[in-house]
Amino acid sequence: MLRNYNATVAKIMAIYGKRLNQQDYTEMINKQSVADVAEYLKKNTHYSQLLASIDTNTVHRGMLENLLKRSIFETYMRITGFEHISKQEFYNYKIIQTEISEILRCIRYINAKSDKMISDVPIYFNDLTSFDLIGLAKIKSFDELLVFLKKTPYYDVLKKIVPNSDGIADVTKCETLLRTYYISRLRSSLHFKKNDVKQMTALLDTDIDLINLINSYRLTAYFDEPEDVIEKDMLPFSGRLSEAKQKEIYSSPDSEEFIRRFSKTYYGQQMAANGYDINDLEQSAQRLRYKYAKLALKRSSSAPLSVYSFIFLLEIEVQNIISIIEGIRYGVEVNKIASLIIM
Amino acid sequence: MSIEKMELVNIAGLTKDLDTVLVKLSDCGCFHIESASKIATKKSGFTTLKEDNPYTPLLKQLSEISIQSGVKFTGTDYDDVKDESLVKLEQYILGVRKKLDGLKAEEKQACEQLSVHEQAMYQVDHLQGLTADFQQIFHCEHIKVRLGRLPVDSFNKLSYYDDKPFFFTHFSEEKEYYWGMYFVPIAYQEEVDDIFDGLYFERTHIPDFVHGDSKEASTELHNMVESDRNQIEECRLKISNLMEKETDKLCRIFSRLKSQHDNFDLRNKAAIVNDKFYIVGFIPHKESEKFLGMFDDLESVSVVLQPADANGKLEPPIKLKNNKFTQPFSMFVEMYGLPSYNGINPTAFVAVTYTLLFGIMFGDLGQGIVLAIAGALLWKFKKFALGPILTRVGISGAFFGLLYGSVFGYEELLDPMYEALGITFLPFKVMHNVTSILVGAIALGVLIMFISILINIVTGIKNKEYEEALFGNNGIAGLVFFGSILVGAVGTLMGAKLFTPVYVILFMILPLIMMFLREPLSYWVRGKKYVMEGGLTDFIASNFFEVFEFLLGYATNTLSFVRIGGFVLSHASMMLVVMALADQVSAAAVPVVVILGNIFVMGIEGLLVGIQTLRLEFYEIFSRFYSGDGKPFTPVKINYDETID
Repeated sequence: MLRNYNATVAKIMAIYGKRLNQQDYTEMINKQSVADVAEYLKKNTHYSQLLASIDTNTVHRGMLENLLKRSIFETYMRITGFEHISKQEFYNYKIIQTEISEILRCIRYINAKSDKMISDVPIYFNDLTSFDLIGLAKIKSFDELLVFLKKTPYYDVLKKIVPNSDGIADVTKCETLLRTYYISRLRSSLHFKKNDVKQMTALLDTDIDLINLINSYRLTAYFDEPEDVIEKDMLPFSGRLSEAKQKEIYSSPDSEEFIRRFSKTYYGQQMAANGYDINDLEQSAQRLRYKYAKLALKRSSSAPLSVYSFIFLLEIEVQNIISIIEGIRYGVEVNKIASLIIM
Repeated sequence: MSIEKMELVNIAGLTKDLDTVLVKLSDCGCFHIESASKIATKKSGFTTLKEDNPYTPLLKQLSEISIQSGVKFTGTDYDDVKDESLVKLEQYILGVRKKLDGLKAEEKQACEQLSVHEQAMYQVDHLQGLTADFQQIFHCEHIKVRLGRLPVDSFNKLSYYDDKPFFFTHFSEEKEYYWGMYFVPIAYQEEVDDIFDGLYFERTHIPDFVHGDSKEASTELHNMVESDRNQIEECRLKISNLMEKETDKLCRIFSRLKSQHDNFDLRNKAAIVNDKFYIVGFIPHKESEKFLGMFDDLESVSVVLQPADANGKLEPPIKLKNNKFTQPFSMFVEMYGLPSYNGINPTAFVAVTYTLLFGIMFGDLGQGIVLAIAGALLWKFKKFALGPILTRVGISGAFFGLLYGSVFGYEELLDPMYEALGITFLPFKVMHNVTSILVGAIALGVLIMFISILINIVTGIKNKEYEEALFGNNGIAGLVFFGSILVGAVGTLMGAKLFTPVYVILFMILPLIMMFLREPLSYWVRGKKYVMEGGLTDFIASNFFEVFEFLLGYATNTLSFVRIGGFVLSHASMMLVVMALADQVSAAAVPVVVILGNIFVMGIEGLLVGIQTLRLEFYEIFSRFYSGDGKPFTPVKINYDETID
């Protein structure tokens, strides 16, 4: 029998209540150094426990960022372990997400012939992933990668990729295939009440639409790719946007026309209604996803929707802090840093 | 009770006597100074003095001494340093400052040394498993050794570098770090250092003063820390001894300089023309004779007294005149704002209504007496301003408790007494007379509102504010309208048919029309021509809504007094609950339940009733006749606070 996980939802709301607010961001943006930001987080926010044993004066920026990212993992484990919902397939989505992002990172490092992947490997996931993350970081070629992934579902996904004569694999293609696998698996794991499935599917559809729009915009604006190439690199799902509408957008001759056509879609209108800058499409799409996740968390008592939305909101919060830290580190103007904050 | 009568004081004299006059003014404690430039303008040849206060730098030095030493300077008698020259005082202050600075620098140095040693101790304490001598470790010929801490996440990544020529060993671990060291052949030092940099390894630089192995080094560092702490204590003791020796004299110098400083600041308030000065201010009328006598010894100085409102540019300050009973309640009036000079002092009215309303709502003989005693004690030992008010309202609560027959929640305790006295109409059982209580509360509210409106009419006529006094909602028109509705309603309830057409037109519709036209009518009474600003439509619309608001106000304000009855009942109900709880427990626990219940009810109910009564005073009573826009009477005096602008 499908049961409710109201205690998990209540726990999420309690943790969400401690999120950073506008004042916290303003305070941090106006700090003079990374150490000051770390000190603020340690003294005034829900990150105090995470940073308790850290000497904020000497902590390395990279380590601070890794710690913040690890806090997402710890919160994820805390929530999914609370009523043992992690036993349900759907709630492993974060592990699959991590596996995919690490495989993609590995491919990029292989292509760049760099061996520096290890420093940012989320080692805390290592006990949960279907392959050894340290082993992954040691891989030097795409063929080696395929052998390494042989016993995982990712082998079947990536085996059709053929690297070029320099051993370089098409990252965009790999990304599309892996994301397609991820979404299919996530959709097939939605064994919940009818209404929960409906809400979760709607949220996933939005994610699909926005990911496709961002990718197609990049391909149009930065690579000047034709419609058929763009279509091939898109996730083979459609959410709120009809296929015809998608085709119309993908066939835009340039970025200006792309924006004009996009502005007439549901998402374009939503961005305009919320006052987001449609010309900064990637940032606005992220803001829109943030808004939808916030609404979903606020309005729904469905556990899958709450977990999915909340973890996304937490990721954005960490991303905001990292934007501030990097902004201060590289002397970016306060206004510019403020414009990067998604709330 | 009224407002203290004031006199406008004009003082003129030669500038050579200005400082002497200012000292006399701040010493007398009854002179409220105004800026003379308000009336003696530049046009008439007057200027104001804009000088740097010569006492400020020395006071700043004293303020620094106070901050550094933590000693507070207070006002004291300074006869023995009265005639000392400023140069001599400066030398003395700077001398003390120099000694203090020296000791503070010594203390700071010791603190810094302590911080360095504590840091090294913290690091060495984490390397307790290391038995080799630090000096030996750092002086290996072919191997480089790095001490420090490695994040836990990075430690878990070390297996990635299995093929690299180094090894890391740890001695202790924290939540986020492993404390230890790595060994690397000198030939690979750069590469391995890069790897550890990428793993966020934080190196510990063991100071040169650390010798031996980790155990010996730790012992040595603990001793150093102990010695640093002793040195800091010694410095603090020296500072304390220095201040003990000098504080008295510094206090006297501070008092003299502060007095001269504040008096010098008053020079800015004077107006100057040629070699003459002019000062203006107010004194209470009763002090005028004594005040005039103060300047007999200064030939050049002349003092002229005028009525307080003689000069339209200067608004007289307000000093409330109250008797012993009403004095504590002036706090509430001041909280709202002081009356204007020609207004009335509402303290007596507040004192009576507050005491009465609180007593009615908090009626319990025992609790009232306890509250009165608590108030008296709070005032005696803590000088708590609410103390005397608690005493008064406590007595009132006790009186009404006597009428209700309630003692600490026991509602039947006084019944035998009334029976013995043959008084049949008492005690007035609250819970048996709910309707009477609520109707009585409204009746009392109406009475208070009537009195408030009457006060407004009297003060309005006195100040020639006819619009408010005659035609306003709190004027005669409002009184007639509100009164006629109440009289008519009560009459109808008693069987008399008062709402006849004549009655309605004369006492209800006509006052409403007067309220609607109050602005033009007040112009007409004053014999002035009324010009309608914004046109007729605007006039009708704004006055229609204002009159509508007046009508709503009468209804809501009247009903607002129902809360008096509500709190009478809630007090009795809460005590009923306490008694019911006491019935449920064993006989031995009854006193505990009753005492705790009484304390709880007194606390909660006392606070609620206090706040609600104040709310009634401010919203339902003051809003009818009181504006609270007066300025307080603040006589000039020396402020012995160390803060210097």
